Amino acid sequence: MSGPTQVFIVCSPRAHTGKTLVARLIAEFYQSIHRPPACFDLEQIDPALTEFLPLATERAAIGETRGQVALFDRLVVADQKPKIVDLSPHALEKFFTVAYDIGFDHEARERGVSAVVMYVAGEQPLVQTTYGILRDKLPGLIFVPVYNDAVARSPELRKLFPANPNSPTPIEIPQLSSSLRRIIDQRPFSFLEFLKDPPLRMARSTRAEMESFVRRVFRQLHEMELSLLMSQLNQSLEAQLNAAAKRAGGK
Amino acid sequence: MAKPAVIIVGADKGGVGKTTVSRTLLDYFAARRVASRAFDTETPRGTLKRFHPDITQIVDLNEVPDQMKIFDTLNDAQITVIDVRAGLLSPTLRALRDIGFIEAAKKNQVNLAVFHILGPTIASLDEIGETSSFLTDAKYFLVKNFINNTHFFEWDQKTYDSYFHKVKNAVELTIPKLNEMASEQVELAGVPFLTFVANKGLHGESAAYSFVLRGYVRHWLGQVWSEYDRIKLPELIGDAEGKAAIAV
Repeated sequence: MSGPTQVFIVCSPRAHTGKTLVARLIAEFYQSIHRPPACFDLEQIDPALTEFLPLATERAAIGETRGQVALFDRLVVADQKPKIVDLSPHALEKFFTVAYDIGFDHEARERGVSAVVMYVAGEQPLVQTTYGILRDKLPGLIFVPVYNDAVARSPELRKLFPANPNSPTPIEIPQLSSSLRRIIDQRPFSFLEFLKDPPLRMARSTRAEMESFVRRVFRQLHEMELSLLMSQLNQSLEAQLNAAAKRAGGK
Repeated sequence: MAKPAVIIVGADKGGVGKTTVSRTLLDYFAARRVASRAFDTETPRGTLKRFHPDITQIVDLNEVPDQMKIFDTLNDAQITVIDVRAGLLSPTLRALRDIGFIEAAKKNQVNLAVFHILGPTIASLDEIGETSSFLTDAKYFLVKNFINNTHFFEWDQKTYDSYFHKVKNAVELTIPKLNEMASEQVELAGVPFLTFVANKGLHGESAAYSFVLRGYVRHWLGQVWSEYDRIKLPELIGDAEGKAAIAV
């Protein structure tokens, strides 16, 4: 059996929710386990992901069919390379409309690609409504709510963003102190580079905070990776059992 | 055995998408495992034959031997689709009346349906009255076809209604617009829409069409077929419940 291929679509219908931060963390997590990802930046005005991860990211536009072909045709390739889409709020509706029209969720499943929507939760009604619509229209996608403590921390929020029964556990992004926040927002900051070679003048406590932040997020992403792998194995096993039952029935 | 059915697809104007509609019809019946054949009247070169070469013959409807080739062999398939060349719809219907075919449809010996593809002009609306005069007992479908970028909304709705309501028992259906790049790719591939969706070549070999473009075609074909389901097209071949279709 070939290895898994995951596609992460990081999105929110609202700006300034930490969406690009989530995309960066996922990208660097895969870099840390020696599975370099391909990232796609759909932000037209401020392509932050491209500036943070210039070697791993290419800019994409889906306004025209040519751009849709360039992006979606790569997203469904089961090449074992993780793919991360940083989806700007402006491109969200178009992206999911195209995905719905062309049957992206179905095709991804058929090809053994786990397509995961990393949905940054928020308290605004628009964010909740959009989540419901997407889950309803694209049931073949895996939805993982992301709770970014810097943006919304209400415990009540958890109830408003239900995950699919077999989906990975929601991801929590802990809040960083403002000094660290300033550091990670400087382009092209890299979490892995920081951990490998922390600034000498930095206070120990600040370094410890960063290490703890990255460890905590990466642990969750690692669990998500395992959960996706398990569900893919289950699907594959189920398909084999069904095929065997069909063959036995045909005899 | 069920009565054979003939579907005539035509318009008095060229470039309104007759052949595209014929192709969707052949795909629709193929997906339902209904034996179909087609006649392409674009002599000497037929566009329909390029996409469905195994089941399509090119004929000249003005020639008696070719008329015999079609109407004397109706039992060879459950469905016969005739893609009528631009400008020949009314003459064809007149010829069918003259050979007694329309009378046979009236007597329920065969089923006849006409898909009249409408263009966005008043002249095109004028044809409705002329064509419908032949079709008192046939199923008459007026097809608003958006696939070739025709702008029906530019029509004055009142004018349109005044023509449309002249025709008793006519049913209106709409063919949505197919994404342009997807349309071009299917043209280039020269295969039926269903084959394109299945990512196959004309001889069943694997192809490498874009997933996005296949997706657009699948979605569009699904919309077209739901229109055919809505107008109860399977009833034409006495299949009231409609055979289960192969998923697009």
